[in-house]
Formats: sequence, structure tokens, C-alpha cells
Amino acid sequence: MRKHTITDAEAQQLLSGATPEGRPELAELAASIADVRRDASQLVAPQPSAALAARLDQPALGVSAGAEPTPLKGIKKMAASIAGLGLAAKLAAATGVLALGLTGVGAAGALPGPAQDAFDGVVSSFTATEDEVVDDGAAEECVVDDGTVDDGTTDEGTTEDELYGTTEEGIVDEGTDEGTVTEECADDLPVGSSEFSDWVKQGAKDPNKVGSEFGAAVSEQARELKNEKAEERAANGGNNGNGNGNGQGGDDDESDDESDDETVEETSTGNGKPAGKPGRP
Amino acid sequence: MSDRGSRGDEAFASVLVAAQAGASWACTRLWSDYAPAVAAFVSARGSREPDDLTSEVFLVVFDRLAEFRGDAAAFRSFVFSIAYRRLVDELRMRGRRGETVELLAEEDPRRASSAEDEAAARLGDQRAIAMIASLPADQRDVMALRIVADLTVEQVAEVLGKRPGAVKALQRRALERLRKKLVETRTPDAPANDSEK
Repeated sequence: MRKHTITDAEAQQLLSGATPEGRPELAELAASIADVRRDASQLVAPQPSAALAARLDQPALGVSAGAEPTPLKGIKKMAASIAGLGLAAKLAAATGVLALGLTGVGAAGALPGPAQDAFDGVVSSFTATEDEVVDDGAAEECVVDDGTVDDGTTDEGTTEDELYGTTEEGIVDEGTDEGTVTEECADDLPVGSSEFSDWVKQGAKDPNKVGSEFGAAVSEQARELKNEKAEERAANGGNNGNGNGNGQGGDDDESDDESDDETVEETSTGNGKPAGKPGRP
Repeated sequence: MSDRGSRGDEAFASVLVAAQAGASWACTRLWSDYAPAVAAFVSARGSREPDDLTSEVFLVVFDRLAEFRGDAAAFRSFVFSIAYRRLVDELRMRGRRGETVELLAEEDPRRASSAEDEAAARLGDQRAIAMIASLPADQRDVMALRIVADLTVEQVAEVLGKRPGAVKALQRRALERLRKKLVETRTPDAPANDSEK
């Protein structure tokens, strides 16, 4: 006798890809289901979205997991070392927003003490590396007239080895010690930590700014602020002996921005700075 | 067997605890283990952007992970419950927008495929979508969850909010329908006992 309906038990067998006993007419159906099951079991996870990748140990869609060119290793390593910034690192490669995220908070001195110290170290290596990548960016146009920066970061004959040897002192401090800043740049650059973030945000939205150039400018400015903060901290440590300095937050930042750091003063406010700029009481 | 199952349960429990604590490696592990089935399920059920939808599902899963309690089987139900709801949302939204569906000849289940087609496409995907798409919606849900997501009757019932008996009835009817379709669509180019498998 030939059955015409499928029982629950037979359904169970079919769904597992097996042909029920005594039902050869269901063999084709069972084989099809077995194929589907097998193929479904062999699928691999899709590429996570950017939002999800930030929570996973793997890169987001479009980020290669392969070996990186040497100059970018520092960036990648740094980005990977900061939880949740994998996505930001990817985006920043094109837009310079990473510089915003990292330097905006870190340079403002808003991080807790140990984190701020770590940030300072990271920014030192990161900004040096970034300068390697952006060799014709804002720094070249804007920083100094006297050629000090040009010597360090010129677009001619700069090799990777030379770039690795480039220190932040070599790029920034020597140049700013000379103290000459073009008016164009002085107008663009922020003065204190409080307006730094605003400046970066506005610049990031500005369609006329080239991402890599703007990123270089952000890095440079952050570096100056970092130096300023480092000196402030050193000065504070000597003056008031007030613990490790964490948590002092914005008030200190506001007032400390006009500390005795001549380099930053000369670089940022020496000429062309609008009088009404905020954050400079 | 039970020892292996017990080890598996322990391994899952440790991964779950770590993921609940926010460990990215553990979240990655859960993603790797469950995302393929979720992507296959939503794809088989007609999602236009199965990868994106799968990512959305896991964002919700990770957001709600702290409130989850249970073993691996329960977690599978948990994940697919979220996936099913998100899928329904997508399908509903698409229905409201009146989105049109392009009918592609190569996706027509009645078409006898060529050797080139077989080589170029993933057989399972094609078959799964063709088989399941031909069913009424409720049967489609059950079959996709049973075959592609590999859920039990009880898990499917939980995901769909139905009784297990209703799920069994739906799967019986779906299988009957598929059997008939296989007979109807059999052509000289695709004989019943062809050697493609």
C-alpha cells in the first residue's frame, strides 16, 4: 500500500535529509533537503557592518586583514590597541577623523592621568607616522616660513627611513621656536583646548578641506597642545604638588592654555588671531 | 556523546559569560558560530540585504546579551527570535513601500539549470531560496527555521510564538507541497535520478 501523507516521524527524517524507510518516492525531496542543509552548514559569517565590527575582534567591511605597508603599521597597531576604535581607524584613513577622536580628547588633557600619559605616547608615535604618510599636507603649507619644517618634512627625497627618524621636535618645535606663522594659518588654527574640538569638528565637515591635509593640521595642532599640557603638568607638579593631576578637567585646561609655553603662544596667537576667540580669558 | 555535549555546554557557557562581560573575542566567537545560519535564514526568507540585516540582528543580540540566561540551544532560539522579528520588520517595511521584485529567469525554480549555472552558483542557496520561496509564508518560516537555521520543532515554536503541534502541522504540509512541486517541475533536463548530487 502506498502512503500519501507524511507523518511527523517521516517529516523529522526528511528534514534531517534522510529518506524515510519504505518511502522511496521521498528520496528526491530528502536529497534536496540534505543538499540545502549541507550548504547552509558550510556558510561562513558575512562581513560585519561597521557598527558591529567595532564590537568584534575583526575588521569591518572593506578593511583588509592582510599585511599593511610599513608606514601604516603604527596607525593600525595604535588603533587596534584602543578598544572600539577599529571603525574609527578605518574611516580616519580617508578623512582624518581619527585625529579628531584621539587628539581632540587627549590633547585637551581631559583624560585621566595614566590614560593621558598613554595618549601622549601614542600621539607622539602616531603623529610622526601620520606625517610620514602626509608629506605634502597642511604642515607644509602653513607652519613656518623659515624652512625648518621644510627640512624635516619636505616633499622631496623623503624616504621611509628618514621619516621614521622624524621626531616631533624635528617637525614642530624647532619650527615653532622660530615663531613665524603665516596669517592664513594663524586664522585657521585654534588656540586653546576648548576651541580645538570645535575647530576640528568644523574642519571635518568642511567639504573644501582635503582629509589628509586636514588630518595633518589637526595632528600638528594636537601636538602643540600636548606639549603645552606636558609642560603645564610639569609646572603644576613642581608648583602645587597636587597629586597625579587626574580629573582636574576643563577649568584647568581653560586657564592653562595661556600658560607660559612660549612655543605655543608664538605659534598660535602671535599674529592674526581674532580678538574674540573663546577660551582665552 | 553526553560528555561531548557537556563539554560543548561548558565551552558555550564560558564564551557567553565573557561576551556578557563585553569581551570582544567572545562576541566574535558568537558571531562566527551563529551569523552564518542567521544570514542564510534571512536570505532564504527574502531579505534584500541579508548581511546588513545579520549585523543588525547581532547588534541587538549583543545589546540584550546581559539579560539572556540559558544554554546553547536557548541561545540559538534567542538569536533567531531577534532575527525573525527584524526580518518581519524589513519585509513589512518593504511591503508598505510597495517595493517591486525583479523576476530573474535564473531564479525561476521551474527552470532546468545548466552545468555552468551549477558551477557558478552555490547550489544550496539557489535551492533553498527556490524551495522555500515557493511555499506560503507560514510554511516558509517553519521550513527556513527547520532546515537552514537547524532549529528543533520546539525552538521554531518559540521563535514564531506558535505551539509545537502547529509547527509540526505546518512542516508536514510544507513537505507535502514540496514533494508535489518536485514531481511537477521534473523535466527531461532534470530527471528524478539525475547525477548532480
